[in-house]
Amino acid sequence: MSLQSLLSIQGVSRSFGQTQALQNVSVDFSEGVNGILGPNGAGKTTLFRVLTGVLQPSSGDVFWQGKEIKDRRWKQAFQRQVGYLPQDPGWFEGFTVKQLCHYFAGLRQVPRGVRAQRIEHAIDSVGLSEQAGTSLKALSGGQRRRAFIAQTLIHDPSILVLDEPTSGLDPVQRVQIRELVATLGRERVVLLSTHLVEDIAQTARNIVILDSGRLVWAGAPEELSRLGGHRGNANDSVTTAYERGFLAMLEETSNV
Amino acid sequence: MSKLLPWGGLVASLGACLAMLLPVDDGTQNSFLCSLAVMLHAAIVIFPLLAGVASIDATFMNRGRSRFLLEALPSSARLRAASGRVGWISLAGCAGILLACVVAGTLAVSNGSRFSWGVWPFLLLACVGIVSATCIGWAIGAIAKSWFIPPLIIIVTYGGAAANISYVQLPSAALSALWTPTPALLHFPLPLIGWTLGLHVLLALVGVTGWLVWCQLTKQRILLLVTALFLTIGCAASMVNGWLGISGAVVANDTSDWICAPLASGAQVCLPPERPQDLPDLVIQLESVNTRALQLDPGLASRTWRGIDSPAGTSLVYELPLGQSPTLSQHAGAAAASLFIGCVLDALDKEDEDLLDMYAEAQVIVATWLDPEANGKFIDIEGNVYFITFADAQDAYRKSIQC
Repeated sequence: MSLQSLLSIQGVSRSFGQTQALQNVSVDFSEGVNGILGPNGAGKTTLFRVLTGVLQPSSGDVFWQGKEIKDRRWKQAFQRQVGYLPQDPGWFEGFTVKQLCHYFAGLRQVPRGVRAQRIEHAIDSVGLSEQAGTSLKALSGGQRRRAFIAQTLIHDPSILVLDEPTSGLDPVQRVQIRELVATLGRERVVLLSTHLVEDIAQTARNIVILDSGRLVWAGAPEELSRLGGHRGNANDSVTTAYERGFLAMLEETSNV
Repeated sequence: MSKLLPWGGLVASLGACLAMLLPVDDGTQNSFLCSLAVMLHAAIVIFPLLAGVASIDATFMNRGRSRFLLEALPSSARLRAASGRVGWISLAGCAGILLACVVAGTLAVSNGSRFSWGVWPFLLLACVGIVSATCIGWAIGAIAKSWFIPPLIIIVTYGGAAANISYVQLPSAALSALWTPTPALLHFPLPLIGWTLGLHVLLALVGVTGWLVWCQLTKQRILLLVTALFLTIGCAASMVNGWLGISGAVVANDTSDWICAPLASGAQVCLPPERPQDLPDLVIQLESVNTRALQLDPGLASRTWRGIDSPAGTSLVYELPLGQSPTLSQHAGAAAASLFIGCVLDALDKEDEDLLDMYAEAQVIVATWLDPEANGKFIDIEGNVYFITFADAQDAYRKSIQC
């Protein structure tokens, strides 16, 4: 664990019956956007559930500010600092954007004096001010995803965990979410999972590649680009090089 | 779905109350007393239904897609989320029972029944019970997270509530005691209320404790558990005390402080001192029944009409005006029963069914004769019509003397 890392996991494994969803994964996360790349079934969602305290790891530990979050009080303090967007957040369809934020502000005990201001700020941050009174049912997929991101911001967390926020969105909506994540990553630790390299190519400070529950590679985006053999000309975009690097890593793992 | 479930609580409690209230067809129909009885009986159905609705809500919330979002919250936030759900369902359940009471009260007033505040303590208990049932249902649903649990909770809670109510015989005992709170009637409403309240609070504690465990609330957990333990001991003590009060209770025969008025045909009518306003009506009603009773036996003039059975041979029992005025038929039935009570008990002691049948038949004949509105006409359960003559009634009455 490096001294700069705010959040890290050490030797985390998690199994569901015979299925090993995570196998001895150790990785550090620091401020800025941390991209978790991996194909479907790589263990990204399980990793996020372990990180947010939804699931207990079968073995290994999660550390926040250098201290294990097994300790209940510390876990509570940690969870107060986390904003989590699961892949499918579920049953809030009857809520408007504002009601959703208000509900979570109440649950998280955002002080009443600043609650209205925080809600307004969160909705504004995700660019949904004009849709604040709109029911979630009536929003597009991208807008709904942004509404749930607003919910994660309501208590001004220092860690944001976003599980495939771009999944199922059209290209325009994906660009909007990417830009939003880049903005959010300027002030906090953002963990973003995706199976698309382009989602994190431009914004991530660190990239972690998972496959079949194992950590395949972790490092800076430039390193991944180098691994992909970036040729530095106009016909060979950085994203393409990232993708080649990503695929090379997956191929290497499967050969092993 | 999540927004609809609290309304399910309202529908369950209001529906259960009205389903029991509207078909009632006896002497207390559409009276405040009737509404009270219905509320008490409805608890058998409402508590399990509310526990079931709450467990459905908890299962839905903890198995649904949103569970990951909620489980990532600190336990205090999860507790607030759960409290909100339980609060809404409880509130809806209590609103349902209160709404049903308003309906019952409106019906009662429109039917000329007198108003009684006696209903409120039990309504309060019913509301406490609803909150505790909702807590328990929600906590179990949240812990078990299985769709098998809601129906199981409904069945088990129904069994528990039915056993509880039949054990303490809550409705019949409480009704008389609350409507006419005289020591000569039942003198254990307070231990009874204590027993029921203790049970409700205990159930609520069990629910809340289970719920806190589910939420893994660590802050002040020991303090909470110790408080819960002391409260549980307190509740258990109040229940034991209540049980002793109930088990030791005897219907008192002391009617010395009752207020009385003479009947023109002889004999007198006495009434608990708490309800002097019923006396003029009773005198008018019982005059005609008493006249026919004296035709059977002029010696009955020495007896006193009372609302309860007093030492054998001194009373003729009338139907207490609980809510609405009883009918002449009810007064005649109660009076005939008081004439035969000694003989019936004797036959029961001897386990002689033939004798019991004979007294039952004689009692019906006397009751039919005593009812001035029946004109001797009696229709049995198969619809056969019989006409009772004075001679028939005399023969039947003699059997009550001979035993």
